[in-house]
Amino acid sequence: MNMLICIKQVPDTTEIKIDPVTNTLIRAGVPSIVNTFDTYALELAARIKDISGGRIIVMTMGPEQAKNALRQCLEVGGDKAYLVSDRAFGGSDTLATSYILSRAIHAIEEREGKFDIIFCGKQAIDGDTAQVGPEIAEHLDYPQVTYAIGATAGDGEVEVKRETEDGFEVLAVPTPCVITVTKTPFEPRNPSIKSKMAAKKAELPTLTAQDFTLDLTKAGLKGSPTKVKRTFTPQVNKEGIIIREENGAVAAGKLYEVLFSKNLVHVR
Amino acid sequence: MEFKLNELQQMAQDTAREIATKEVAKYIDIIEETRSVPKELFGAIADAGILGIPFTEELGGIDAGYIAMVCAYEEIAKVCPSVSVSLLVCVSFLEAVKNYGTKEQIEKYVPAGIQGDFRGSLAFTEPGTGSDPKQIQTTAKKDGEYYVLNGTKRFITNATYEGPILLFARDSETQSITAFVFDKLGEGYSTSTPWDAVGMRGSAIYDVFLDNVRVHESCILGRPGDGFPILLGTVAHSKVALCATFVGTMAACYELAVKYAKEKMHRDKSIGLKFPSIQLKIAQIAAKLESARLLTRRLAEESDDRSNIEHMKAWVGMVKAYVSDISVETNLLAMNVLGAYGVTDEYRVERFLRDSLIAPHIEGVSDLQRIIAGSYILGTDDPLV
Amino acid sequence: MEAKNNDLWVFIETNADGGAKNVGLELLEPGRRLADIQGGNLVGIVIGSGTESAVSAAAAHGADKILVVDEEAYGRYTTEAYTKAFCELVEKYGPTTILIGATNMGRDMGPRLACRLQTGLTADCTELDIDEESGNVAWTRPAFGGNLMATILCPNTRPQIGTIRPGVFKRGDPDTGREAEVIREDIPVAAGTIRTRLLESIRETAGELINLEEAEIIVSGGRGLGKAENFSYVRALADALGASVGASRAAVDAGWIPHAYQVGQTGKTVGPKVYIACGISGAIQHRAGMSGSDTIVAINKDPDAPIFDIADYGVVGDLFEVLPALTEELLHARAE
Repeated sequence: MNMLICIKQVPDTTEIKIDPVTNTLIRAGVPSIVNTFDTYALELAARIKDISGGRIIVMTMGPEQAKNALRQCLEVGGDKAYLVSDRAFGGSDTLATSYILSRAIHAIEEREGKFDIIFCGKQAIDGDTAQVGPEIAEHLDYPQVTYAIGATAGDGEVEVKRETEDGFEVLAVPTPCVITVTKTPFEPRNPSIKSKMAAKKAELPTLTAQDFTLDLTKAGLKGSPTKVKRTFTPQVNKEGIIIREENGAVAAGKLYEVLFSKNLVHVR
Repeated sequence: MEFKLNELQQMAQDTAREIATKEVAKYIDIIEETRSVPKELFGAIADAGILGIPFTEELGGIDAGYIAMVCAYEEIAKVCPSVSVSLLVCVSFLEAVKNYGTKEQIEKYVPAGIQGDFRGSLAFTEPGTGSDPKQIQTTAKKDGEYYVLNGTKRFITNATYEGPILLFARDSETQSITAFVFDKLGEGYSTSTPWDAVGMRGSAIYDVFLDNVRVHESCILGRPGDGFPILLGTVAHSKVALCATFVGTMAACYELAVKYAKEKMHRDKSIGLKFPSIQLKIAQIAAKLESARLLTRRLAEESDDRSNIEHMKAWVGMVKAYVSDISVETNLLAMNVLGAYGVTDEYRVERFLRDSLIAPHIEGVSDLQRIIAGSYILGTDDPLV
Repeated sequence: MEAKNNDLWVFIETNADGGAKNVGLELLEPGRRLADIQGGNLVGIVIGSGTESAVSAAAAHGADKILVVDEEAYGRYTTEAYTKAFCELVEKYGPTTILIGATNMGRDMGPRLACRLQTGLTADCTELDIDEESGNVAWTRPAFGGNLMATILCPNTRPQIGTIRPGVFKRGDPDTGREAEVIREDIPVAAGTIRTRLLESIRETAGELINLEEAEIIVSGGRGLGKAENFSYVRALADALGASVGASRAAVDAGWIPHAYQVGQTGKTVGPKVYIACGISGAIQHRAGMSGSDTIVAINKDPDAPIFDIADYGVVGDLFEVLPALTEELLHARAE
């Protein structure tokens, strides 16, 4: 299977802090990581490769420093990586981003051959929209499966296990297709010394707007139907009431009284 | 003079640190309780390429040398010293085969061992002897194309895991010591219950009983009678990673002591900032740690050169004695910093101290190590340092 | 595409049996408010099979008009069939605004639809307003795991689309006497449209009917429970409350409960009226999944647990004492 993983380098949102004076996000010093869901997508692809053979190309749209994220992916299963970068792409919303990525995919396919599967993480932990994957599928007119937690490659199709609200289902989808991956039951593999060395030495080609055909009016701010009007930090004004008693039963009693008086629990 | 690690050494250290903090850390209590290193953990470490550090790429290694090895083993020991010890015995076995084996033996064992397919052991020590080959009582009696082995080996690491063992026995005809490589857990091979040691409990040691174990003559490593030189050539190098292991315990205790001193409050100030006695101890620990670490790396550098075994043995003797003794001192100081909490298992220092307590006594007691170094310096023109 | 009117559409998501899920009915509330300001109709969109009850529920909850595509081929959700049908409806009727529930289905179909229509989609909104300056819908949503809020506009393209999580808005009281104009659209599913095949479908939640994302009360268990068997404490309390059971990642990773119950960044995002966190420390990743709850109650023996920073009511105590006692109180009160 010839597979492509679209990844995004994101700030580690668990480390993000709010500046108490300006009320804005402090981004300096926050480590950059490969988007969590993308690492699961890569591991899923790597497992398909282990069993059925194939190649994994990793791609990301971002600034020069996103190359670090690409190298991290080469350490754990990726065979080759491409950076898609151009100032004209800055300010793109999800529609513009997915358009650019779909055009970049065509360009990469000219070099690497047609992809059977395009993997994306379910959503980026900074944007949290979960739109780019399905929008890439729409641009390419490929069938899609979202919320994937497992996949096995077959002949001209992939069997995908996907999460539903109360369990899971298994779908067969023909290739080429787009699969977006959520948290899998298994963790991504660890890098080895060899893979780290290889990743460090790997050449990472950059594709700019000159390197593939796209309609620039559909990229960047111009190509983005959604605009950010303003951003703000949510106010968390919790004056929590803490109950601390000698014994659990007394505490429970107090809690019950409080919840009942606020009409939060009903006697059924 | 280059104190910075080169690229490959840095990679080895980074990879070891990642696997130690991500995987090994999950198992530390299980390892201590069950007194063994689980197969899946060993597999993960092998997959990361740790076992292959000193071996050529041809054999499946990364040819990074001994400095890379001590950096990697320090990182692993910093999380779980028992894992480090178990690994270095595996590597010693593979090195012995690589250095003294036939082409067939090397092809059979080394790539598979690097990949983590088995865990090897070394068996020289017996109830009657720890260092004197003349006292070896395990016998190897020739029977046609085979040898029949009988005897008891003592304090053997990895004795219960599937894999080969490099065992030294006395040829009952020629009376010379011969090295044999054969699979553990076969007919006639059995082990005692593990010895109850004060530390390194995750890398348990066993008595191994050989009751008419039959091995084919092709299992001989080197030539019949080569046993003692092979042993010396192997054991010296295994002490290098062992030193790194004890440096790892010091690194762990240092971090634990600093963290505690910064966080533990006395009234409104940390004990670290408030009490000069804590500051003194921390400074001492830091210096001892760094000196042991750098000395171990120098030893590693000396060990990359195998041309003068006597010189190397003297270096090993000097460093092993120093690092062993100083790791006990340092870890005890760290325990001091933690006060009453230092002796509880929740704060971890006590386990690292117990693990380092065995250092001056195993794989060459400190006094003997110093005598080896001292008599070499005084008996030759080599000033050693 | 140009809008043909000021209508606001709400997708009335249905179950496999044709009944309406809560989320669509919830969205008719803000839908009404916005449609009135925009000066258009509030239109419910129903796609499925056997959808009579969904249609009446939509009418009862305020829809002026309901467009229905009801055919067996739509009985089970598929990306292609639903996106195509929805798109055809949009192209025919030209609404100005569309609200879709940010459910498994909504998040699968929404982006596909928005892309096909070459328009803007704002996901997981927590607030909806009309921007005074421009008259566009102002979509407010969290980013960076909830650390930042952004207000988004879609000024130049139509329709403007947004997805909203279940539980963000509350369902109004139904007016069963209310009538709406029902228009049935015939959009057959052409052969070859649906490219995926369903091979297997399994429910993991032990027969519980309440979907975690739609639950009003959730009792959640974490690492503090100690072992799988101790989820019985959580379940007992949940039963007494008529609540759903949730879990933190620690409990799921330890194998004590299936992933379908996980609340958090790599699990489900929930917004119940009451969220009771038992033995959960409150790591950021967990909070990302439940901070939208109206009232948060935490029970933990560690007074420094971060969960207490966001809890409205916290009990510092042993959950093995507190939970049974609380359960007992509830059952006792019920018996009276």
